[in-house]
Amino acid sequence: MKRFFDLSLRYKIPIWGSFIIIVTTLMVSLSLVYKAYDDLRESLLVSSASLAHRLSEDLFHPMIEDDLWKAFEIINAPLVSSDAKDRQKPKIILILDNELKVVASTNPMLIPMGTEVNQLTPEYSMFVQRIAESKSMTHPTYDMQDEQNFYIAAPIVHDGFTLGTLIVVHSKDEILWPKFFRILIHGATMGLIALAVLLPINWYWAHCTARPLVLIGQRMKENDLDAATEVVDELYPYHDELGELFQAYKRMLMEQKNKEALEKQVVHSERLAAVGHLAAGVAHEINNPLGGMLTAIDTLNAYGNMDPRTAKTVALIQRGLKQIKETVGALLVEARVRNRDLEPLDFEDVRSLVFPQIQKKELQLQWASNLARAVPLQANQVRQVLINLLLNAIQAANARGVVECAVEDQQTQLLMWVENDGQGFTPEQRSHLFEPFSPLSQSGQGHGLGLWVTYQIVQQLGGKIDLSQENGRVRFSVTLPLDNTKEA
Amino acid sequence: MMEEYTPMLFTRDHAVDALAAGLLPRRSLLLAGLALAAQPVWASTHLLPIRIGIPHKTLALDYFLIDELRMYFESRLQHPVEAVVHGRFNNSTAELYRSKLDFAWVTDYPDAQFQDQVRLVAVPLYRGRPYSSAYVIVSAHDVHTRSLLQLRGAVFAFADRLPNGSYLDVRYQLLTAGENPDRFFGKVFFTKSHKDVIKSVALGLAHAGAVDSVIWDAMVKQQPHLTTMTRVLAKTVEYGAPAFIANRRVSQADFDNLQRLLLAMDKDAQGKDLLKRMHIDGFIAGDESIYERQFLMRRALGDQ
Repeated sequence: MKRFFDLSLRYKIPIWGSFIIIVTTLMVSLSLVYKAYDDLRESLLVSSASLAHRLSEDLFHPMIEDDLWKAFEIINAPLVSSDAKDRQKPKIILILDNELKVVASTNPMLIPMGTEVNQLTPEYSMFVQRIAESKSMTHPTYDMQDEQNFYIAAPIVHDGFTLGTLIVVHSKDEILWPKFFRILIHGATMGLIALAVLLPINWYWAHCTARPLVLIGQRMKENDLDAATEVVDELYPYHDELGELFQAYKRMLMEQKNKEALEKQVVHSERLAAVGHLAAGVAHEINNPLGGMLTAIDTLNAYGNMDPRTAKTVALIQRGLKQIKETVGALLVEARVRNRDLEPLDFEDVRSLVFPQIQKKELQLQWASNLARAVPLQANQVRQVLINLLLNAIQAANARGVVECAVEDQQTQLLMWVENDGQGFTPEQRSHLFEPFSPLSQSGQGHGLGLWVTYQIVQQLGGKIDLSQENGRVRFSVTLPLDNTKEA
Repeated sequence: MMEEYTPMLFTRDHAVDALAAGLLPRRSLLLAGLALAAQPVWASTHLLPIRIGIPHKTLALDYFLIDELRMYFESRLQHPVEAVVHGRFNNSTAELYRSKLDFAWVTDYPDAQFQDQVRLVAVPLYRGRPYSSAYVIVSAHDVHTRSLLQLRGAVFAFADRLPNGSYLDVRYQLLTAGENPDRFFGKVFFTKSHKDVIKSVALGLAHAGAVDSVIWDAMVKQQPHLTTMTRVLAKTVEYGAPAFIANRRVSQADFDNLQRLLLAMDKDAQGKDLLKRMHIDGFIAGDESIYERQFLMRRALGDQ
């Protein structure tokens, strides 16, 4: 049994359904057949009783007049009925006198006149005894049945004077069973038709119900959550409990996905922040002695009389220190003192600045800006962000490709995005996107701090930077909140 | 008023013609006269046709044959004829006496009780002779019985209990063999039809039965499945064939007309066909000596 319950729903549901349908059909058919059998038996008994009653009434006068032939003709008439379809034809009819001897039977060869009732099969004696025991002889008819026959008796009586008993015998084999078998075959046919209709419907229904469950189960096992959500919408677009369950499951999957993405982002941001802190700390610690060293070298250059060899060495040290200062300066992205608000003209400057690069690579630059006012953002920093993004895009774009830049003033925030048609980032690359000294700098130019600096600036301005890749385009979007109250 | 009833058998004028022609029986004539005065329409429908009693089952004639016979008589006599099918009458001669019938074909002639009231019109010829005979038959399964006397205690079927042919003859044979004919058989019953005697013996209801030989021979051809289930045990001595008799009150003219018609039946095609279907060769005037033996047997059995 456990083995059955372990079966896949794909089989279990249709098997259960079929089992229930078959049992139901069987029970309905059987109860109808039983009812039909009962009705049939009842109607046979009623019609036989009425026949026996009618014959017994007709028999009184021939019997009292000792007209044996007439009596025989009366009982023989139902048997020689010419109607071939008259299936209620009795098997045998016999007349008993009050001494329980046969007066006449419809088969005189088998039961000749004068045969005593106890010389016949025992059923007759039993029947006669039973009639005698039922004290009130007022019943118009009596009936009894054994395995083969129905026995119906009617007293031949007139004005209370009894001449004998009429017994009508019906063979079940000839009457009841053929009719019953016809009913049975009819019932079976109807049952089979019902099954032929219901079983395919059951199968289809079970298939529709089980398939999404089975597929989702499989996908879950394979840990393929995206595929599992697709299955839900495709296979079960209904709103019953199952449908709601699937929808809830789908929602759960989506939430889990979002949560995972969020967690990843948080982890990423935290890592960036930690790296930023470390870098800033290290840069500060380096910056202070560096300033002293550079000042000392300046002083040395101004007052010291160095031999050419020493001067060459000092110049070498000074260039090295300057390079360190530049690098450290780049790491130390600090909100500098606010110089001035961002104006539309700033974007024109940026465009002019990057234009030589565009021309150099024969790119197509699409530029759109709807900024028509000065907005309260630090112009230098926004310019730097945009330049960084544009230079990256120009570098990533295909030869003779497209770079697109747009600026939208959205009242409460400023949206800028830069798009190129170059190669996209791999998931691995994306996970280290805004880290310093990232290996993204494909050409080997620069120090790999562009995006890191951009990210730091955007963070300092309280904005957001996102990467999206769609239709073969790579887009960096930056949104910066506008603190309009200051302007007001 | 009369013209409205022309579909009736006789209008007043017709009745008068019939009276003048002496066609109507005396009693009918009297009543017709009364009826003409009182209620002519009623009278014309009830009294004027000649009423002939014709046996149905005892001679194994079917209703079509009886009706054709009636129409044959009607056309030849030029007079309405009413066929009274007896079979439900116990005694045709008695009916004749009560003047309910003018003529009758009876199987119980001569009934001494009414002999003064009737006249013999004609006797049919079976195989050229005015006599019938009967077969005693037993079931074909019964291969042991060789004679009538071995049937002691048996169930025996007769066509009818009228004191004629087979019933008389079988009992007479028993009497002459020293048996009591009323106690010899275990049970005797009457089927009112020779066909049913054959049927009852064939089915086993009766052990044996007496059946008219002409009818049994005809049944051999018509319904062999019945006759093959029976076996002829013995043939009785000949006895006078069922007689055609007239009420003594019938006028001589009517008597002569019918007698002439019957005797000449074998002369015309239609009559011949009817005779053939009745298994009769023809009619002869006959006389009472044909029934001599029946008298003797009845007297011996003390039936009269």
